[in-house]
Amino acid sequence: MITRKTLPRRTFLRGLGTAAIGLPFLDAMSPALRASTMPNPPVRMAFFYVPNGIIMDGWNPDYEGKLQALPRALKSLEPYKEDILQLGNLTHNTGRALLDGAGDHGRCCGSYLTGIQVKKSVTDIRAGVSFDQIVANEVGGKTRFPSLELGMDDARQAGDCDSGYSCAYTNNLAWKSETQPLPPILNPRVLFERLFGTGQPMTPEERKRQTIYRRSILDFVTEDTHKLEGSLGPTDRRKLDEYLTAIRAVERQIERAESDNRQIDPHMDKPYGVPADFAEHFKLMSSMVAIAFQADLTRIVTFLMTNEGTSRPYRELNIADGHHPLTHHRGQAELMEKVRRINEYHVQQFAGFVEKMKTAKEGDRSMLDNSMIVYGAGLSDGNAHLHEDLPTVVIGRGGSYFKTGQRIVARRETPMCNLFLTMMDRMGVHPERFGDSTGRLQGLNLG
Amino acid sequence: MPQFGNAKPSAGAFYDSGFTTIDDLLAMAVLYGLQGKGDCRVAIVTMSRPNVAVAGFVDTVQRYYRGAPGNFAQVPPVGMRTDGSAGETPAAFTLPFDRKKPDGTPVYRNQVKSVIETGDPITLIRNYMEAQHDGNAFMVLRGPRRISPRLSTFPV
Repeated sequence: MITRKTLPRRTFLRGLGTAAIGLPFLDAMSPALRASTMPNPPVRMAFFYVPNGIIMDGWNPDYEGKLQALPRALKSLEPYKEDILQLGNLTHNTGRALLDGAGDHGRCCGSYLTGIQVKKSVTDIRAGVSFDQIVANEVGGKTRFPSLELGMDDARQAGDCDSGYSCAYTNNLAWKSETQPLPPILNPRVLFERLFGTGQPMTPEERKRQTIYRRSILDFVTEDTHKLEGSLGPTDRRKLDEYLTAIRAVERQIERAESDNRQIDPHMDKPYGVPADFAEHFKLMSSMVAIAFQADLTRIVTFLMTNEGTSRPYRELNIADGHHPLTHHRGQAELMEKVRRINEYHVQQFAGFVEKMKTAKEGDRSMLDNSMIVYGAGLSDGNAHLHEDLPTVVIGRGGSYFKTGQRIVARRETPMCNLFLTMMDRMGVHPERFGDSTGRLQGLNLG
Repeated sequence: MPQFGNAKPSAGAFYDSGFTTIDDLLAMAVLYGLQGKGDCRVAIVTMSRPNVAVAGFVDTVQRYYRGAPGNFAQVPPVGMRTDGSAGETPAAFTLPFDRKKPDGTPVYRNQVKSVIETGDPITLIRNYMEAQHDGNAFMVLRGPRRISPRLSTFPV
């Protein structure tokens, strides 16, 4: 359908006080028949961080160049092989002990996006502005949320979480300033309301009414939705329908989680609304990341899949031992196998998110094509606490920026910050250096 | 290796050489000899010319002196410049890789097959210098000074 009027990119479906739902990129947002002036979809970046390192023989292929069969830990990403850039030999020297002694878990997470050797302290925390926040400061004003910080685990910010390192280092990825981490949102309900609410806190009466009547947030914007649908072509109508259906699906999952929590154990330590099941929790949170990207609510996300040094057991895999103790396997095959299964499980969950990004279309590309999603860890070998050859994959081409479908191995000890500097360029921010960078990452054949 | 612990250790030694003759190698061996006596620790060895075959030999000798890597650190790579001329490869530096055990397997395994198994010398020196106490490191240079002027370009 060709229309004379162009729908503004910042159109929201608004309801009575409680809802403001952003829209995905629709054809109606492009001026009719003027392909040359069509705005390019925005480039997004996200970081998914897994703790305690990886069993590297299940991560690194033994070749360079075009990606062939993926190693065991990455198998779930096989369908998206052509969208993956697997990087080798990237190092975070600032995660190492240097002269600060024990505490690799505290250091590696604190330095991961800051590129800074964090101060060893429980009370006087000092890191640096993380690179996602440097980008957010520059481009965040274009979206409703400059960035989103998400997580799945306990988010306590005080206390000693690793050999004299504050929990602020192990439980946060993003840092607004050298002393101000940005704690992740853990609760799907909180994230949902932040994304689709008006930002105005609901009164207790309103919240009670919404709970009693179990109304969907979409119910509040019905009138606006109908009005908009009337002005859209069939393709846009289908796209809008799929998008709103995805929001409703997330909302239902949250409601189910809230209901399950009440039935399972009212005294459980998970906050109300947080699914007890790891996979379910991740699916909910990551679905909302995809929706937030789709509606251009933010372009920057950091996601701590679990906290660095976590001793979380994986009972869903019949693994009762804690993750962190398992990674100190001392080469014992049985323990290593359990870690391998945890590594696979994390990637398996992440692959579900990649699929959502891949199936969401933006013009003739997928949303994944216009994104740079980094999945990785701050340690390679968790048993030896190594900070070199960090497990790192970038998924998505960043809008024809990265040539994917390859494994590229940098020289040993190449700073991870070189990759960050390269990504910053794509986001339109061009500092001379960041952290301990020595330049842009070489050998990427950038578009 | 990056230091672990707070006690002031013996001085960190940084060695840069073109490794064109066996004397260059012996100078490195002297540093490892001093390390054996507890007088210093060899932090990083760098090469001032881009010769992968020679880097492989230097790496193998380093592994011999350092022993098996332990927890919390690996054998650091040999730093190697990638500009300039590769120069000659002395036969003495390649012959050891031809030696075989009775079962036919090589006595020494060359773990440097390409430039990616080496590191950028300046990055390595910077990284490992950060793991030294102030005033507790020294650098030995054999041949033209091609390393030290570039060091000053790094913020440390």
